[in-house]
Amino acid sequence: MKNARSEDIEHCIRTNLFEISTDDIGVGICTIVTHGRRRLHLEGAALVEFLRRVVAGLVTGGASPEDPTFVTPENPRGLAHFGADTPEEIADGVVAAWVAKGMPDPDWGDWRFNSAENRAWLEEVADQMRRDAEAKAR
Amino acid sequence: MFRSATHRILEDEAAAGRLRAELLGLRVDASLLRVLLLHRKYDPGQPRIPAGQSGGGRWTDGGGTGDGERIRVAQNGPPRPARSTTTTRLGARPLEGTPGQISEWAATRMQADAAVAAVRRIDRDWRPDYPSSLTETIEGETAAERARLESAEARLAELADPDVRGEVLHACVMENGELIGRQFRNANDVTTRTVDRETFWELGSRLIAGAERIDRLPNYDGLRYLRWDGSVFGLRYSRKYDLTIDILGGDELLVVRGTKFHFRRDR
Repeated sequence: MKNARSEDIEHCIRTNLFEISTDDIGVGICTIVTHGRRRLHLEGAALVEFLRRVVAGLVTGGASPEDPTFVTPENPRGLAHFGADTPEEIADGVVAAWVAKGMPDPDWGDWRFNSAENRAWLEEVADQMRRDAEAKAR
Repeated sequence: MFRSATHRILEDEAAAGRLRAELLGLRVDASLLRVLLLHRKYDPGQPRIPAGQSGGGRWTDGGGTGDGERIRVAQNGPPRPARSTTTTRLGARPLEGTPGQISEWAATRMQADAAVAAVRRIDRDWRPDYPSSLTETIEGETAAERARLESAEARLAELADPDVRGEVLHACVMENGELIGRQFRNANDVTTRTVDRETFWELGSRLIAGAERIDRLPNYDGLRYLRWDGSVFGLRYSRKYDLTIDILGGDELLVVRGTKFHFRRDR
């Protein structure tokens, strides 16, 4: 079994943190899993470990996890919490949820990571889009 | 010095009385406002008593409060834009609107481009009949693009060829076996690409040809389109990069989900 090299993991964390810092939409595990599978040719336990370490790195870098299944009126971005929200607990929780689904190529919206600042802006955009749609309907 | 319980009760009663009077005043103001709106006599330029003064915020006839205070016009000029109003530089000139309006404008223009291209494949010299711009606002630009789209769709119907056919996803976004555009600077990620403005418009119109708008995802704050080949793409406004095209569901062989295209803002 081929494991990811530390530099590949660091590169993936750095790239995704850069994306979060420059584009409000954040990053999803679809991108991370695809990177692991298609570019690094990881599978099985090696892919699980790669995803776990990248997610822990993103959380350490200030990102937090969102999943559309957690969306409620009080939690419009679907922010998720795992235990004390340490990077390891979040990584274990997200990876466990993905493994439980059979380790698929995730959909675009599944488990995304973003900063609080981006989230606040996106909430404002979503709210504005709702108001635009309501105004159009009137 | 400690105040007596009676003193405190009297003070509380006086405060409650003031609040009741304020509340009554607000109710009267709200009723008046409803009546004014019903009669369409609402004037945003009507002066109000400044905040912080007795009766602050209430409508006035501009004649002062009777105690020599100056009246400030509360809402003078056009209504204040919503907080998330922003500017896109994708068009020929900067356009201001909400992120949703900007995405809507771009999507409508891409649809119009796709429909016009479909007509011209049959009728090369055809020109759409539409007003170039209805107003200089984003709503006016969107309405003009919608008119262009409708004109092209009407012509396609006349030609008995109402379908605006699209190409498969990889044909839209790849050239010579590689994603179009340049790898985004510093990103070290080949799935984030930058293209020039013209390529961005062309890419959008090729992707949107024959595509159908689908429901929003809770965590995608833009417009989503399902393409005839099953792929899904989105158009959204990004604070830093302006309009952005996201591949939300690719063919997963040549084009993976998460691929995105920004445009180069070099002017």
